[in-house]
Amino acid sequence: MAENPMAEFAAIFVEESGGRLTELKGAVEALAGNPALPAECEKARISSHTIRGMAAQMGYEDIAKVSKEVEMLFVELKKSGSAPSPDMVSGARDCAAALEKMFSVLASGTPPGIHPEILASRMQTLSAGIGAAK
Amino acid sequence: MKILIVDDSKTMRLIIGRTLKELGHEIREAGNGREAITALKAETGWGLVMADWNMPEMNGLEMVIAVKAEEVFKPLPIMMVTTETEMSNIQKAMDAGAAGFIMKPFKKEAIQEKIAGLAAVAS
Repeated sequence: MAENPMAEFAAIFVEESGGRLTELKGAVEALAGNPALPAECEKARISSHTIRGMAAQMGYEDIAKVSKEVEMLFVELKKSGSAPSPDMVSGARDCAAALEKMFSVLASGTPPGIHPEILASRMQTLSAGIGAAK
Repeated sequence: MKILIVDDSKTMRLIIGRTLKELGHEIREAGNGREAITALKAETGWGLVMADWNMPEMNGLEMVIAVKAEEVFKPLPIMMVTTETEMSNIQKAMDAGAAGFIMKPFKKEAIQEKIAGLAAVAS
């Protein structure tokens, strides 16, 4: 297997992404308590966006895929000016939990039991529902 | 060329910085738009600014507006580093005076090509 030319930045990525993931989880938990918090939606959008950008550049495609769909959910919510539904909060929470597991095993790939495609598809369906409801 | 990298992500600053150094450029770093303005004023000889969009304190668009408001920096090209989800915002940055953009994830060759393009326009 070809060596990832970004490997030298992996430790910094994990450390920084961990901080962004903490922000994402905090925002999602705040939204679970009260969905009508636009500032928390914005925190979730920015933290997932940053994780996604870094992961894509690092070549961590599964992390980029899942974080992109979390970002897109909050982009669509921002556009529509609506609050997340309980399903959306639950989806974002599951994605955050999956990202945490993926960060922990970056060196060995996506861990068993994590299905980025299924998570991404679920978030896409939730995002599409925001546009359809407008 | 002396290039200022403006990004709140340390990982991205390191990746972009390594790429630019490999291309023979001299780099400086700033973590947000406000730090960028300070860095630009502290030195001379700048050739390019490469800026992220989402940053705390002062975001990419606010930074472009602030830099272009300074007469001395009007000719300085600013390249936005972005993702496709921010494309709707890029036109705002271009309208404010940004010279171009590059999409993440990017390869070294893409940065080289963009910088060559900006140099050709400037000359």
